[in-house]
Amino acid sequence: MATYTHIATVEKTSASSTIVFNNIPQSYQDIVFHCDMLGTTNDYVYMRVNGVTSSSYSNLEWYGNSSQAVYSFSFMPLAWSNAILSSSSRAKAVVEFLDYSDSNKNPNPITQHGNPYDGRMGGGSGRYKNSAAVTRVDFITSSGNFAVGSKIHLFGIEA
Amino acid sequence: MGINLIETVELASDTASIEFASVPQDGLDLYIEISGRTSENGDYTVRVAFNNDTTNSNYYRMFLSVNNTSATATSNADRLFGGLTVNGYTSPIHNTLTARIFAYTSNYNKGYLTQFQSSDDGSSYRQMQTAGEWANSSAIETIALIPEGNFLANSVASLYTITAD
Repeated sequence: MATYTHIATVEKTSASSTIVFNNIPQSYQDIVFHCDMLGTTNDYVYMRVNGVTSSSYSNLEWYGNSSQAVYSFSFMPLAWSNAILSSSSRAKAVVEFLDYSDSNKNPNPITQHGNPYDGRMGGGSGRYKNSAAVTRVDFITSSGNFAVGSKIHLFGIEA
Repeated sequence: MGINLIETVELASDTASIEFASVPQDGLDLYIEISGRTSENGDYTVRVAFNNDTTNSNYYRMFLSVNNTSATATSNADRLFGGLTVNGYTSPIHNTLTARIFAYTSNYNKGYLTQFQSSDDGSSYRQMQTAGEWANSSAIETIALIPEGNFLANSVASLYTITAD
């Protein structure tokens, strides 16, 4: 079992549309986010690397709803569009960046997410199409806000 | 150290459940991993009970499942955690199930994500993820993993806490 080191937790004390992890230490092999999120409305969560907003991301997801399995692929300005928020039940997600500090590789997160009461769960992978160490990750709602009490933990995984 | 092994249970004989009877209350999240197999020939055979609550209607889960021929998804009130056996294969094949339980000491409903893979000796495979929620605001103090039939001998399950220190 890999060794986790807790780096930071962000817990929302007021509603807003972003949760930001900046100045991520570069001393681990991998990093992983544990997300426990509530929305002010039904909404999607996206993720952005190093604050870049240009169309430098690809996204592949496979997910299930209450009746079928689906997959989709897209190019979008955000790397990850899987987790679905609601105001009544919490969305869970685990997001991993392997070898995130290597500036010779394209960062490519892999995710598992779910919100059973609101009908969506699955996994995804993305690629930020630039070679860069991951120093900042933003979690962003598509239209509403993260509600008070939403929290995301960041852990480093040592080699 | 942010992840701490709390207990490993390795079965010497076929057993009806695996229980973690004293879950520490100082963690952020929990992580469970199982390497094992069950006596029941089915894909969806392992269920969970938090704090001895075995009432299916207190749980809700979605699952997304892929085998060698199709993909399916569904949701309903169920304590399903995963499965470890396909088509009644025999030892030495053991399959893997992992689970993350979020904010397990919180005062709101407890959510979890699981994933598992199972395969037999060449004709049947399955990979599956579940997202579940236990509608209870109590801290999780005990966890029971309950298969249809038995966990078979040599199955191993470990419980970890993920902590902030």
